[in-house]
Amino acid sequence: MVAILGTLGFRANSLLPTLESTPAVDKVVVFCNDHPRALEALAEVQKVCSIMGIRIDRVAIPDAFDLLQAAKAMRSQVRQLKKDGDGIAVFNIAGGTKMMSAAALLVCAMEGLNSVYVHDETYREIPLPLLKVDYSQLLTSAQKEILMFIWRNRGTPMTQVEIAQGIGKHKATINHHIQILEGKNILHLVEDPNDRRKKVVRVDDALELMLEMD
Amino acid sequence: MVSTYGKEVEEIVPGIRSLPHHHMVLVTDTALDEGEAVISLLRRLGIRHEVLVVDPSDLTGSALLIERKVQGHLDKGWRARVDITGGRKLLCDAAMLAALSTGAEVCCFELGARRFPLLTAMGVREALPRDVAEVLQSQRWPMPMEEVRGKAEVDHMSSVLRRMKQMDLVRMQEGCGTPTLCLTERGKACLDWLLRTKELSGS
Repeated sequence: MVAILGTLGFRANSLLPTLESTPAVDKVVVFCNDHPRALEALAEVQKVCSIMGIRIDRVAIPDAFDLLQAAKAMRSQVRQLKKDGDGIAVFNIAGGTKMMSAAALLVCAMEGLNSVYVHDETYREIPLPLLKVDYSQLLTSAQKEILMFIWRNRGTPMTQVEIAQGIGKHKATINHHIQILEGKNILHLVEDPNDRRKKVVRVDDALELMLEMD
Repeated sequence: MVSTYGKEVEEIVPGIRSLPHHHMVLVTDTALDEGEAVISLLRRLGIRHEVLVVDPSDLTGSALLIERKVQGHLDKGWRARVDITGGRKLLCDAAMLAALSTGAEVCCFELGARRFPLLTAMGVREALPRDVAEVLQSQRWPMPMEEVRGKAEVDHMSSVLRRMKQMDLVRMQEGCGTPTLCLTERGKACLDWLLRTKELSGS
């Protein structure tokens, strides 16, 4: 089965050109929120799909302004399709809020999907120059171990010494890796709110998605 | 801080107020003159700034210009953030592509603060192995299969072409004439990106 994915906002026209241009589509998966105008656009896409004999599934995105939540929902859907043996022809990222569109771009990069943007004035499809990016492959096993440890203990901000003690590795080794990870923007050293003389390691929620810890 | 900007000064205010910055790049799709409210605000606040005007009809070109601007600052050892709150979605997507490429943190303040860090070295330039990029740029596409076979034997290109197929950059096309190896839409987009990068850097 060949599927196309698309974010949808208030304009069905942001998605329809991809239905027309993609050969042998069997299914369309639409990501949209519950805004009445988004549902109107969805109804229009459903009508076209019905005429063309294409199945349509809708995945509700409760908060169209939450990039992380939207990206997680999209990635989970992509993985389900892959698991079911469906081919994903393209992900149209043109519709929806900026955050939905950005989330779709991120998922395309992480899952190696073809992505396309439909220009909002000309309705011309623009393929995007994205390649598969496996964030977890960019890290060594030691770096992953450190990040896993920090992630599991994210409720308790720790200094580099505490991390070294927790993992059972030398402080210099931990410092070295933390410096590299900070350079890659994966973690940050911030002032400890309880003791300004100390610096603790902070990670963002996005780490969960990027390192597939969800 | 690289901020996309449409028409309203308010679009950049949350970013200015909540994120540390020493320099601001306003990315817009229309030229801004010195009398514009946003320029006047930045001047009054003493924020060093520049305006990057991009072509709204060219998403890839816009992304490339933003990417170069972000990378230029990273190369100087600065930290770069991309605020996608302002302007139309096309600007936001172009900025997002640039952020994916450079690993800059993405922020949006449309409805409360959202910040999303990306990892560095993730763009076409980094994700595309050097030998693949070389073949993508140096060959004439589509390539007849006979030529592919010849090159695979003589130039040891078979492994590169196989990887290009795995990366969905090329595909076989069997029409009514000779079968050919042609670029996929992704392959064309990546080639376009590489060529434009080359053009911009003047090499």
